Amino acid sequence: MRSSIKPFEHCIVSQSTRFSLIAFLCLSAQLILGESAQHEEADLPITSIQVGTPERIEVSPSEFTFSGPRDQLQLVVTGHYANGEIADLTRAATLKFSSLGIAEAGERSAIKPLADGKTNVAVSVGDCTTSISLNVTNQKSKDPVSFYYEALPALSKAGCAAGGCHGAPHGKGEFRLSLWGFDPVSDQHTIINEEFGRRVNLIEPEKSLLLAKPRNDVAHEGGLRLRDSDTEHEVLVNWIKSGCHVEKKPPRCNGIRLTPGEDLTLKRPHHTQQFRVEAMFDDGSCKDITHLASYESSDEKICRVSRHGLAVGMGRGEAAVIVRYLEYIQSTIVSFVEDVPDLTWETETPANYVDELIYAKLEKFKYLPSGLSGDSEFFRRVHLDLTGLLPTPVEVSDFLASSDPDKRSKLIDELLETEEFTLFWTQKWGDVLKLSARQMGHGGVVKFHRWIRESVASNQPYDEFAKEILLATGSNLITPTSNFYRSGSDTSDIMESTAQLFLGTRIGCAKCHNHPYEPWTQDSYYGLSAFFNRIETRKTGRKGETVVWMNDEGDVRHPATDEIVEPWVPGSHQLDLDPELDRRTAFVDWLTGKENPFFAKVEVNRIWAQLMGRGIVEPFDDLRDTNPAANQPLLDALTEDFVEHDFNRKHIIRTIVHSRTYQASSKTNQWNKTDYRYFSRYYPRRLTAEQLVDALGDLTGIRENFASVPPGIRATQLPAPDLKIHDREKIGDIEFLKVFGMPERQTVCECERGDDSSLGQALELYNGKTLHGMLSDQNNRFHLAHKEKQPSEAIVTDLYLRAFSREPNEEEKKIAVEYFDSAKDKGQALEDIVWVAINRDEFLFQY
Amino acid sequence: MNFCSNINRLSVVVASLITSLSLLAEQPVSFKADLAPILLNQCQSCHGPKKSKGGYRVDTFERAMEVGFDELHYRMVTDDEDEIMPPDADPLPAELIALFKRWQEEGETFDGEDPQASLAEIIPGLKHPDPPSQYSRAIPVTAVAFAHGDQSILTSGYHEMLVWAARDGKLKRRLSGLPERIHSIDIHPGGKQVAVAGGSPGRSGEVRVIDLTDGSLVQLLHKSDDLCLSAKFNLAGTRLATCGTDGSVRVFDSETWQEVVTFANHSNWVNDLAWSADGNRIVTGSKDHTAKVFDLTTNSRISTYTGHDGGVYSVIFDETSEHVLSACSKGKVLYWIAESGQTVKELANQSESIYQIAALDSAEHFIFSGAMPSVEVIDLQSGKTGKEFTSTCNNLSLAVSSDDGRLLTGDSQGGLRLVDIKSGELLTGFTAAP
Repeated sequence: MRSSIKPFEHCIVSQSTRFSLIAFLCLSAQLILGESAQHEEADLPITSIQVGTPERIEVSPSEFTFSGPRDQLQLVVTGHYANGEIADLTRAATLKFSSLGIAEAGERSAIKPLADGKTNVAVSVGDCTTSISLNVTNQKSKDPVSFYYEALPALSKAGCAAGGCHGAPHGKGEFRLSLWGFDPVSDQHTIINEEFGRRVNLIEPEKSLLLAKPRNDVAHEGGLRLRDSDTEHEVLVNWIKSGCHVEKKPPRCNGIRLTPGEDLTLKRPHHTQQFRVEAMFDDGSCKDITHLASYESSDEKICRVSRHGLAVGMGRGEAAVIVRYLEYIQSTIVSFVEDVPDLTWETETPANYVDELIYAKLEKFKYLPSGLSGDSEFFRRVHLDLTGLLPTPVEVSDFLASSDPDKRSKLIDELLETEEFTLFWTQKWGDVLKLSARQMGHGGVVKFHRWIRESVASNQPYDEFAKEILLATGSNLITPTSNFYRSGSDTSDIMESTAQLFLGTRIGCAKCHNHPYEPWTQDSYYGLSAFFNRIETRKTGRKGETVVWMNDEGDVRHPATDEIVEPWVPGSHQLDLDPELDRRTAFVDWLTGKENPFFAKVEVNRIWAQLMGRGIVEPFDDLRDTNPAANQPLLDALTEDFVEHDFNRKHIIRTIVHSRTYQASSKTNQWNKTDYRYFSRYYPRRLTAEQLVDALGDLTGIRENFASVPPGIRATQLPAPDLKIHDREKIGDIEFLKVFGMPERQTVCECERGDDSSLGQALELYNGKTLHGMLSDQNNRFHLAHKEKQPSEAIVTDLYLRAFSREPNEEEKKIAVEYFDSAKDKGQALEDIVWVAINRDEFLFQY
Repeated sequence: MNFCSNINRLSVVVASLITSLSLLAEQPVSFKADLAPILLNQCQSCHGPKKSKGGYRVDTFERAMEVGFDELHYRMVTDDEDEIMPPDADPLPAELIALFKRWQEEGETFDGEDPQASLAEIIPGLKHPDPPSQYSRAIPVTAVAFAHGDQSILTSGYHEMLVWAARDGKLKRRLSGLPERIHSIDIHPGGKQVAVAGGSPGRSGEVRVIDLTDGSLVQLLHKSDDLCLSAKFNLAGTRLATCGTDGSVRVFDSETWQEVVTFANHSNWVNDLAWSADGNRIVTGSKDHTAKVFDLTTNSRISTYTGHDGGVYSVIFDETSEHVLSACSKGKVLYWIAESGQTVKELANQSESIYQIAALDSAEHFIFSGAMPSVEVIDLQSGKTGKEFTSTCNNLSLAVSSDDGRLLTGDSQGGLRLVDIKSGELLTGFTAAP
């Protein structure tokens, strides 16, 4: 058994693989909890405020009117210091009311009204005092709890209406709420009337199933979601007590406002920030709804937000604090910084603006960038990124031996012009354009693939690339890009793909309800659909041929109003549509315009992610306010550069690969161990399925031959995973490729490519068919070398150059040679040595 | 602080389930009275008949013991966040866990009758709390019936059944000791007994047969962990059929109260059932979108009707018992052959749910009500709407007097209306709440 042989003492078989598996599991667990995670302040690392000596304090708001007995007011107290720093002092403030009995202060400087009247409140922290005035009115009002503005938000806040729970399309446990309360009419029926009103108990409201379930008094699969001390509980009890009153004509909510609303930086020890949320209504009124809003953080590792709107820094970095109330969502980006004693700031000299902006951000968060990668590290990395393949020993040796100070730049320029670059980057586009024989037929795939290849080879400007794809008309065998219109089941599917590919938005959610995290609404969805709605496809008599054309009639109707929806694009754009023209033209003109805020940005972010393993915005095709970029200035600068260079993709690739950031070592230093998103080093990642198959082929000299494509095509160059000619096998039937996550190309999401770890992968690497076949082949490189009686040392050196782009060190050489010399079966010993090399992270990963 | 108060609250809730926990501290721990309620309320939603996460079920004594005491106990006390049960909630209060431990030390004895019976069945009958003397709000009237030769009206109350004078709507009696909600009221043909199906949503379900003269309990049947929805005597009065949210249909002998047969063919709640005139068949309507006909001479299913696209709320046989009328949540009334389950015709197609359907005039007409503000009479042969009686809101329940002359409806806001079918005149209308 191979496992009994451990020639290299420090060989750690797939430790990173295992590690990433664990990380993946943790991440998915977090995702499941994340959506409805409500943090209690007791569970968060909150320390008492170190007030120090603020020069002055500022209190928001300076005046406020309570207009009902259930109104509340959250104050936000900010301290300003002599050194220009600010700190949230809300929790440290003491409140003194000039008239007693009008209002009272609770925790976190939240104020509740008591009786009609006016009072001033002196707010003091340390030696600073500021006064605000309060007007309390309407306290004897018997207005019942509002269904729309109190009860429904309470259900959202408790997590009931979240997408993973009862807000799922079919609900949970036969109880279905609309997602985040987007459909109050349906929710009203569900809660009050459905199944003979079983969910509410009008006589003993606390006993209502609606409350007993989330309190876990009655077995609840969703667990404990509500405590009877929570505001939400009180709101819902009072609402049921009112007889489940639903207002006939409530004022409309126009939006919400967050205080502080500007992006802000918090410095330890002042790493908490209390937020206040107000809702504005069309009758001119404005309510403090801090206690009813739901809070989330875009990154729980950096910031968590308590159920009362207190953001708490968990580590250095920035995160969006996301606040949700009804269909409204607002976010503010909060940066958490702290002093790192003993750190001396020292970086490489920036090669270009990429490094300048990356270093600026790193300095802000005190993540010292790793030094420059070694030559072999860089050589292997840049080959894998640009060509998908490992370099040959001769290339490695030449590069390592060269003393040309410009050798890295020259290498980059050379690689960008290779056929391998073209084919590898064509495959990346094939993934997201869903090139598959299942959708487009064999002929369609081959033609479309050839077109993309030519586009990449000629470095076609990206706007023209998009134009040619989106405006395609005619036979798919004559106009290859018209195959794009075969990649979806209908025109809304095509529109969704287009939005994700070129606008970086996942608009699919808005088909049925307003997008839960973005300003996209159902109106936007159908407005965009209207551009594509008239596209028709029809099969012709010719085998594999489909014709795409534009009908001159046909409208999209809004599912809610049944009214015709006019084509619409984001922004204040008024579209002047020529009825004679293909509607897509107007869309594409807007899309590829230089002022389009999404188009260029998505593409530079995609290129960045492909080179760096992680987008500046991650996931890279999910651009939205609530998903902040790791480095917004860099994203903006790359976008601007891209637009200025007429959408020249190679220019952006070259700029990134030239940067010290790309060329940084993957090794951590003392100061950047915890960084995972600001690019303080090169983040290692596993080779893709195709890269691994090619690397194994090059290492052993036994290349995988693929059915249905011309001989010599490498895995990283395959046009589609499911090509199949006549009775030959399908390409994707190779187990190894499937297990390592080669996408089937069913979605435009890059996430379809699996980068997780699995037991199947471990087994493939242990003794899978592909690997075993290559290793045991008597004609493989190592068996042949042995037969030719090459010295074992030379064989080992060749192995290291091929696998790791470096020579073995003395110890490695010694262990391998000794193992070989002492073995009875030399062939078997060689296989063992190669097997061990393959199972090292140094081979499986790009770093 | 929050956490502590929650534990206190939880223990209060659980303690109230366990009859006088502290008083009985010296007595041996009872599985059926002390432990079964905990397993039922804390575990069964994930480890019961609907879901058996991790392959574990604890919905009967036998199954709980297959899991084994050690495992159960470990899951309650472990520090491992991934292993502790219930997940995603506070741990069980220490005194409850101590109860489990003591039960084991006392020999793990089972004090129920049938170790394979569901937990809900073995938990001793709960004594229902007294109804409030005055209702703070009117509640939906989910069941109505005529009684005492049409002189009285029976309606569902809160933990009680209310008896009203049909003539003037005066409250005559309150029969308490009943479940929180009542979904079906059916009077034995002898007129002395009444079967009441109901329960507390998400917590318990039962059918109680009570003596109509003094409200005393005759028999407690069909105990389950969620509402029982219907219980009806056959015309001869020899059998009582019950059904509910547990998806089962049970038939009992009304002399001995022995269970004659159980059908578990539906995959979701069974909302309603009806007897054929000869008492040989029953038809059932379920949330699983089907209606089924069962033969009691052979104890087998005869047909499954799949013509509805929504949950079936109400079912009745026609005069010959050869056909069935069924109504569903998609507003359809369908007329079909009992033997084959083939559709004969569609008789109504409303946009809202139809909750109740009843036969009139020896079944030449039928009448239905639901989530629309009118009650309609339809001619079975022509399918034409004969009369309409408008009302104010959703009618959840409906009954026809034995002389077919008067119609009684109960609505979602507690309103009750007694209408003369011939003239359409409103005889009495009042809110059915004390």
